[in-house]
Amino acid sequence: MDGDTYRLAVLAHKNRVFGYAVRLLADRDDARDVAQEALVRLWEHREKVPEVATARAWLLKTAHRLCVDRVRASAWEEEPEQLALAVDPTARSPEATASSRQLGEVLSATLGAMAPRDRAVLLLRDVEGLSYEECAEVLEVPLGTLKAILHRARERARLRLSAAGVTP
Amino acid sequence: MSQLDFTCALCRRRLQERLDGTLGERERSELEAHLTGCAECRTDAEGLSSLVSALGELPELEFPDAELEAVWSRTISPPRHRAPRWPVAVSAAAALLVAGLFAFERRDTEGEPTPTELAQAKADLELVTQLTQHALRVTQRGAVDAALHQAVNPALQQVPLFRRN
Repeated sequence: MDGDTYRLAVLAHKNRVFGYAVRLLADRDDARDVAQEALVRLWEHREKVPEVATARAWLLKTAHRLCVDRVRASAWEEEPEQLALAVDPTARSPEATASSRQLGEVLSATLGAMAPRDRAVLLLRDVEGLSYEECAEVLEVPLGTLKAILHRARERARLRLSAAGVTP
Repeated sequence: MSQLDFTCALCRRRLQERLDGTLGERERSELEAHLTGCAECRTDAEGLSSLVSALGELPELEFPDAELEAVWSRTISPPRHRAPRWPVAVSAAAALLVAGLFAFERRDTEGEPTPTELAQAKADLELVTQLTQHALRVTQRGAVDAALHQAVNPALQQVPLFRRN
């Protein structure tokens, strides 16, 4: 990857990397640091990533590892208690389901209330659109385990939204 | 576990497989048949597919410009740092060119130039030529950077390939 390709890759993927870090860490300051570091590391490892298209999975994997370093190991599979009630009560009204902006806020709150690993798999697969193989590589789990984690996370998210009275 | 429980449990697994795109034709027919007769599973199915659609439509978050500048400064030179240099380089070359021409004109009015003056004039002309060529190169790079920054990059953001797959 030369300088021009690197520049294109950064411009093409910077928002995805930043968005992933923001939603996984639920902290914009930490997410800024993570995204910047991931983008710089792409330059440092440019021989391994020849094309703009392949840079996305590489960047998300790097960002994920940087995020994991910032989350306590013991908290990786726990649901954060302080965020469990983060769903905006006003979004429970029937009118709220009609607003995509409010739905986005409720979804973000729902993601924030989930265990980081569940959040990560939903973000990688259903938000970022990585393949199952790419998701498994990022999370460093076998393909079968990845599917089990993904299915459970989707079901938990659906139940949370349902309990909040929100139908996407 | 009753037959109904088993069927609903299997249905939930099949719903996920349908989202994954790994469901065969026969399993799909069985699933549809079950959904037709089970209101609870139908509600779950709608909730699950709506959840996945809504996740895919979450808005893109903008990486702050200040952070992007920091990335450029830690990796490759940012366009904005080079852009201000080219008007300066062009002005410097133009000033030297005018000074050189003025000096030539002065010499011309004072009779035939000496060999030393001719050699000096040749050296001056060579310097002006080199500076002009350098200014043109810098100008070209600056113009390309400016075009990339102002037109090409924003346009690339509209290309689906670069937004997301």
